[in-house]
Amino acid sequence: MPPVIRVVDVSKEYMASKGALKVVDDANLDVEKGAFVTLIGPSGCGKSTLLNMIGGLISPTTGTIYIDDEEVKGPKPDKIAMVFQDPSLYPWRTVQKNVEFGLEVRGVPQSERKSRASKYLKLVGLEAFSHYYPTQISGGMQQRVSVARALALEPEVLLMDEPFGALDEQSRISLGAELTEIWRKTGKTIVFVTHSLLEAANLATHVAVMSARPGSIIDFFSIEAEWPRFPEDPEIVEARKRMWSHINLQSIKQAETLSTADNDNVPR
Amino acid sequence: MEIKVRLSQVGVVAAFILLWQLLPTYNIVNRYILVPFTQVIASYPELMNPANPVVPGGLLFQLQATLFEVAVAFGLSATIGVVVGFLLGHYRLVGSIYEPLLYLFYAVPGAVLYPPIFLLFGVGVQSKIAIALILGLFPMIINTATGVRNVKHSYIKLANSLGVKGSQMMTKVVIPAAAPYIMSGLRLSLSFVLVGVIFGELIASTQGLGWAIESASNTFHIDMMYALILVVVLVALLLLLILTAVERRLIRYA
Repeated sequence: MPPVIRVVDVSKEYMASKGALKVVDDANLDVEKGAFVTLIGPSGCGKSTLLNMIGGLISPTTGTIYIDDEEVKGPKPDKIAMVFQDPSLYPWRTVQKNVEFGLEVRGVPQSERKSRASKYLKLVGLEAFSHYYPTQISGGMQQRVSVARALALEPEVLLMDEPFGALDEQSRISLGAELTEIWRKTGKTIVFVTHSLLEAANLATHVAVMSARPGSIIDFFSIEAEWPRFPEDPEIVEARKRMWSHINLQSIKQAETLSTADNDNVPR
Repeated sequence: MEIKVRLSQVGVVAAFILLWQLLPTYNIVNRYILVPFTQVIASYPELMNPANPVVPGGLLFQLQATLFEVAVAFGLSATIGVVVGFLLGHYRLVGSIYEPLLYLFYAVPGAVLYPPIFLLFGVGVQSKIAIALILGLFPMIINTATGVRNVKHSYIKLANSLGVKGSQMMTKVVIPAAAPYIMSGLRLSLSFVLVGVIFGELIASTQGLGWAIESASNTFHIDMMYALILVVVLVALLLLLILTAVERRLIRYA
């Protein structure tokens, strides 16, 4: 079975006034169907850029990305849905209407929109809040709505860019466990960007480690452990050690280059 | 708590009316300059009479004339303002060219418009509508442009990831996101339109509440003058209350 996501020799370079800034350099990644891949690396290494390219929001300077053997040329909401660090719920819509938004845009009829929205709100445990407005619910709840919104599109792939980054530790842990449940129930393929080694180890079937900017994939390994996983489990400890050995090295390298590099042109 | 506040507000208004009544009655203030409240109210029946010589056509006729001008000027400035504001906010280049100019002109006292507009349009309704329209356009355009420009990037990014394009982006994301700004633009615009109309009627007109106030003042019917001023105040309050109610209905989430 060919991999669902194939990133082939992808680079991203931005033109800035003081010259070119290469953010991603020759990245290669294969993600198989049903995998949960966490993408981790030092700060500023290009993880989000890479994720945005897989999602079709940014186009690579060189190289190609394939989803189901089809080249990614722009967003494809019926195949790929994204969840960002900022839940970005529209404050003028209720929770339910926010979840329906993606479907509304695609012309899905009213009754089906409603039933899908209900279904996925139930899955994230927020059906009771369907008629609340985003300002009336907590950050963690907003993020769960954002996940429901992505799932409502019934995509094959879920791309998540530090979705729990703005939340407190306890919410991160419980939402992480919920996400694992949802992943097992729905069989989606997930690529999850995070800064947290523990989170990466807890959630992943496979870990992709990125080098410092310009980022490429310097390690890719699997974690065989069953769920529930605990921080003291040997496989988890091993995984974190392996991640840290790379990232530590990369951070040191990055610090050396940063002291000589031009920092005014990091694009956002 | 809420009741206490409301009662206090009623109390303030009542105290004001009391002063209005007592100060002239007891000659603390000249009763020909500040006509006592009861006398002002007593002038309404005659005001309503269409045959009265000071305000021909009666109060209701003049009220309707003014409301017509306000409605047309406000309707036009709101629609044109939203469209132009959207264009200025959405197209950065156009916005950067025209918006600073707009801000410059916004600072000019609207009164300078009166002489040229009266020369151009005469003393009929058109001149009042023209002035009020221009005055009302500025806050509408500026507020809308700001609202459109300040739509959170994360909203746009999210919509992009969902495949939203072009006109859908505008109607489903940008306009709703800019709605609070547009609403405050509407409120400002209404205020400016009211000022433009009443002032215009005061200066050069043949009808309308502003003209009636002038007429009453010139013929020394000061009681009628205050009665008419009161009507203007109440009309302004009512219109703004309606707008606020609409705003609360549409933007109950913010």
